[in-house]
Amino acid sequence: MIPELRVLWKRVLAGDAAAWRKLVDSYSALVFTVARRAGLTEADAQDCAQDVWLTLYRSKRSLKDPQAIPAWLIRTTHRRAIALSLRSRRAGMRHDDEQLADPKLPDHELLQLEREFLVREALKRLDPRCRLLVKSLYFDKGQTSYKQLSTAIGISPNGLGPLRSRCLSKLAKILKELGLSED
Amino acid sequence: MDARKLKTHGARNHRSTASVKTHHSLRLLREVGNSPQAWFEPSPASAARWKAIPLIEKVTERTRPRSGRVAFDSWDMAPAVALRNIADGHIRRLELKAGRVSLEIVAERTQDHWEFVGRIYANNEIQNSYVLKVGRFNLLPRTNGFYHWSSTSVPRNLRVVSYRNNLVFGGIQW
Repeated sequence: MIPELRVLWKRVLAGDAAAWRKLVDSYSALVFTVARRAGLTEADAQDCAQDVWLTLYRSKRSLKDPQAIPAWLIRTTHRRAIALSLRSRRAGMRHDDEQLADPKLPDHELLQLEREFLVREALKRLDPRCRLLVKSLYFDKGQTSYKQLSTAIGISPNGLGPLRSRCLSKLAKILKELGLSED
Repeated sequence: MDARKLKTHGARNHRSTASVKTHHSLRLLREVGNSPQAWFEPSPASAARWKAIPLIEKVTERTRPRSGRVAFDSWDMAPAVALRNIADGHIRRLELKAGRVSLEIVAERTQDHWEFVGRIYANNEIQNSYVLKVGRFNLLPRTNGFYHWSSTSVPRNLRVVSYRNNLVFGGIQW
């Protein structure tokens, strides 16, 4: 769980628009990704996400536990996306060449989305050197060579191993703060 | 166990705990890194629309209202050749301006109501961070910055609100 979410939500409830903007900044990719993975087109996903944010804002007083916001966003977006997708299909609005994916995502995928979001959030909180190293090693699928990476980071190739260990330790600490510890 | 052994034992324990934690991070990184599914970032324009949501209920009190003017009105022009068999006056195109911000509206009269489509520009760029207030409607822009609403009545007053601007277009004659 994101530690500052409780404070941020308290500010939103107090009418602090800057807090709302920060909330949107933090979670907009999560909401948009759920809508897109449910098979919505870019424009439909934008509309779906807008409805979700509007619903969250309008029902903010009834939301008791701010820690539940990420899960609420995922499930609400998913439900809206399914409804929107079915409505589009019934209205025959989709073009023939568009992929007709099943909009219903399995539960394990929704859980994985939340985990994925938190891992990406943890990466944002790493220092730039560690972020670059971890992203290059685990996300870029070997597109960057050790030599290129060491040049980009500004250390010798021999220093990458120890730096990697230190970065993974930092990441483990952040993941624990975000509630993604193993236990 | 002497102090040296204890220290070594402690260090080993520490190392193994760290290794378990790192192993967990690695597993998560590989899970995310190997995910075949893409992660989608919304466009800045969409994010701007979602950030403007609080403006639907709250007017920026700290921002002084600024009055705008009609910069263009198609009803002031000489009647054009009939288009799509629509009688003159059924469509009205308005451009309302306040400083560098302009609101363009196309109003079309149907049998029993009016259809309105609007868009806000600043320095010729479409704006997504404004809420358009028309009577009881508080409208957020949709895709490509379009505002759309239907009504049986025509708006005499419009307000365009962002976190920085509070623009009032009043006294529009129909």
